[in-house]
Amino acid sequence: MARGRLRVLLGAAPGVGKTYAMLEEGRRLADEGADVVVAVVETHGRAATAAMLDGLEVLPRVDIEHRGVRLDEMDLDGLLARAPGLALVDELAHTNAPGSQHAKRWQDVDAILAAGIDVISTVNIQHIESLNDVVHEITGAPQRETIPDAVLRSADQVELVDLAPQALRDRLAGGRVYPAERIDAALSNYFRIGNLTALRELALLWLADDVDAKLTEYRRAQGIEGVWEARERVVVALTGGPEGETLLRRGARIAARSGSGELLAVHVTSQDGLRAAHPEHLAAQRALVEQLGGSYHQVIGGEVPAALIDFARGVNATQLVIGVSRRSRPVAAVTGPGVGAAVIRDSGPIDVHIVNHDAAGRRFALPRLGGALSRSRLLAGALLALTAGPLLTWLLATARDPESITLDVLAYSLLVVVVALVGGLWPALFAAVLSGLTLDFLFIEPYYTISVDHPLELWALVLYVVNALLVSWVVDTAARRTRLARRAAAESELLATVAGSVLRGQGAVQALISRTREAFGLAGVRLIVDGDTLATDGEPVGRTTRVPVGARGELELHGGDVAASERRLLGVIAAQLDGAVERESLSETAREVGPLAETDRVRTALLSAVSHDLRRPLAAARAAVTGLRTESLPASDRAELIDTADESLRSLAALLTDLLDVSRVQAGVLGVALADVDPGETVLAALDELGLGPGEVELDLALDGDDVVGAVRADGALLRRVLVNLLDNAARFAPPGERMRVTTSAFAGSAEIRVVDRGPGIPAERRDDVFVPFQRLGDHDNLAGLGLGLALAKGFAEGMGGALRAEETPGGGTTMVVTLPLAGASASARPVGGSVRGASARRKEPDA
Amino acid sequence: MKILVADDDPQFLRALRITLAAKGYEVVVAADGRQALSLAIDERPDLVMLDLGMPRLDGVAVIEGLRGWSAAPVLVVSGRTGAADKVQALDAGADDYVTKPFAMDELLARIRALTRRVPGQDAEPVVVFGDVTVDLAAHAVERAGSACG
Repeated sequence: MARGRLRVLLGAAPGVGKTYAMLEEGRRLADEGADVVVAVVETHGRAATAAMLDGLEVLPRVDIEHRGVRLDEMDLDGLLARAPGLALVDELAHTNAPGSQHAKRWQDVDAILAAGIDVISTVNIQHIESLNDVVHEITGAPQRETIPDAVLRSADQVELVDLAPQALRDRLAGGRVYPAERIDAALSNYFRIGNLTALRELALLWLADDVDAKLTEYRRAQGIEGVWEARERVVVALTGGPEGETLLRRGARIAARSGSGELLAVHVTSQDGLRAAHPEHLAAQRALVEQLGGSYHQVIGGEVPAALIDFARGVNATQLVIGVSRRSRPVAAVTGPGVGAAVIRDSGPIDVHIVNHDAAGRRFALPRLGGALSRSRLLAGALLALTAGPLLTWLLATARDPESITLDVLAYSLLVVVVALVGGLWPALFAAVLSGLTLDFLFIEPYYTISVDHPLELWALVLYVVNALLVSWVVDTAARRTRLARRAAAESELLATVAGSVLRGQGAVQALISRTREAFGLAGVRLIVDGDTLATDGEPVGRTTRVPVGARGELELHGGDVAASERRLLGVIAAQLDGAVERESLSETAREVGPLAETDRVRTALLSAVSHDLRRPLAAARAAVTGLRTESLPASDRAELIDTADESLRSLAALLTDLLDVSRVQAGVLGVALADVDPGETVLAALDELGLGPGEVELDLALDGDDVVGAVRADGALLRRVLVNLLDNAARFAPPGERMRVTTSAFAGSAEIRVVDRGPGIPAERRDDVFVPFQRLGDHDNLAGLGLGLALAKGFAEGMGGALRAEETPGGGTTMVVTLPLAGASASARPVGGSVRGASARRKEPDA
Repeated sequence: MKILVADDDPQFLRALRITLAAKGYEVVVAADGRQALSLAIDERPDLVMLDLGMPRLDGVAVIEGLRGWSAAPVLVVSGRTGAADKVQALDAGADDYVTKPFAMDELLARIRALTRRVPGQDAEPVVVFGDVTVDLAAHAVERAGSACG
């Protein structure tokens, strides 16, 4: 007989909908005509799940008696006798009652599969054997029911029933996973978002592993070989310069983006040892690599690009990160393509990233005005005139002929034009005069004299010089224009940046200062307003120029001259700086005034509320006392008036106590005397004080039996005040006929007292606000009091080293949770061991 | 004489109910603004004592609701002591304002003062004799339809 097929629905946590999904699938198959039997299903009282059972054949369970306790289990023999096509078996990790055929349910399932019956089952990630310790670490709750990984791995299909943690929390809050009574410390701890997210990741990873294994198996079966690892290996090339850090961080980001990428840094030491590398830079970068989780390598090679590529290929790199060349353009033009170009040419399948960095030339600077052409071009022109002039003269002199004068003049005029193009006006003038004299001296008769016989020749010479002058003037003007245009472009870029950074607001002043220093090539720039340094960039060395900023400030420019033409730009920057400073000081004022205005509003409301709340009982008491003085009052009225006065004075006293307590809590002078306190007894005392009985409150204090919550470290009187406040509050909001609930439970070294009401609840975004004192503004709802109760309760709880938080009651309402350390528990949380024992701890484990 | 007392403090209501009853007044009590209005309609009190800060309907809103149809004097008894609160209540149509806590004697005196001159339904500010009409409110005298003096 063919073995049945096992399908397992895997969930990250209870309540994600595994059982529901299983039943849904069962119904679908049954509708398609399959012979489906529900062997065992735990609905956990969830109505939606129970409804799914409708119309499915459910196998009755068998009772197994064990030491007087009756437990019902799946009827394995009954199922085998029924022999359906498909059996739905919930909770694969379940431990059978002692005395059953098998110890574990998965062994039952094994038998069912062996009988040729297909099975759909469910399991939670927390029950997988290999993850047991991880789950324990995450949730703090030990797992007793586990299932060997091999059982799951051998399943024909494992499917994940996935639900986002927040969605699960919403489900829990809606009361669709557990009824409110089941929520205790352990469970609410289990369902924290962090826990659920971690568990979900575990489930996804486990399944990914499973899928991976199945894929490998498939490959092997199909004979597919030569699989490349889909993992990114990023190699970062370090030159030993300061830019290495930028490259490393960039490389690390590329590696991180690809998931589990690997980072390798390599420095190529040249064989000749000529290239400059700063050992201290390399040492720092080596430390950084290790800090980023990468590895550092050093190779020796003659050609840097070749050595780099060899290394990258050798380690199966997929990405190579190199920096932009630090050489300036003319140097690059002379020395040929740099490392970058060579690496790109030879990289093959490796992607090359060329990363810009600060060391790559000057980032941004205004071109200097002044002479139209740079000094170097001037020098080059003069040199050209001095070297090419004699050379040309020698060439022409060797072929001197009376008829060659035209050629001579044209040749010299070409020389002047070339010199003008290279060196501008002055070298060209120099060349023109020199060549004119040479022409006259060597090539115009009479030879070897500087004299001109013919007036026409004199004119020709003059015209020649003028020509040369005009050409060089055109060249010079063009150069000047180009420079002006570049300058204007740079200025407008600077202005755009300046305007932009002010618009963007955040840190505008600092950005402006840095930009200014870069733009003018200064050693340091400092902004001083009212004698305070607001922002600074660079070092304040060298000559200082001062520019006023608004009425109160001054911009100090250190090191470097600021030309008059640049003053104009500085004026604009100063105006922008002034605006930015003003803006920052305004927003600072707004920040300061905002809370003040709020405080003021609260204080006014508080004053009116306090005065009203104090006057109210006082008026009643006074009216009652005056009434008592009336003669001929019937005895019953007299008694009633005395009651009135008494109650009014009592509420006045309570209000004053609260007010004084609030000021004590706010002043931080709460006297706390910590002792071991029984939380259950304190709850009873608080109920007594409020006169609440079983009609209003349902208790689950576990006063006896297994579930005893040990003593907590608390101040008995304060804890009682906390509880009175919480209960009073809950009673006020409890709808008629609905009872409140008070439960105590322990988990991981702390105890929780939960006060559960079914009232209207608090919207999630207001949940923190309810603990702020003087919430009620105005005097329209006297029953609500001043809103001091919850603020006091929180202050007291925190004063005792505990906490108070509001949660949503599953199914609607508010649950106030007081957390206190268990007596004897160390400060750090530890899993529950001593206070919750055996069977009871098992009950606290969430089940699916 | 019937007095409607509206306040959201049950102790205050109890004290006033007993004390005023001992002084011979008939007392009706309301615990919030809306109840005060509906009781005023049903019971037609001769005087209304109101708190300003009440749930469901604010005291000033109750005064405005009353003034639409009732001429019964309204005495505000409130814990609010600000001048603005007093002006607002009086402008809305209240006849007097007492701040809590108060001396009972003073309250009783004010009640007496307010009820001393309950405006009669037939009180007309115009006196006619012969062909002369004297309008007391408008300080005008007419003879045979034309103004004189």
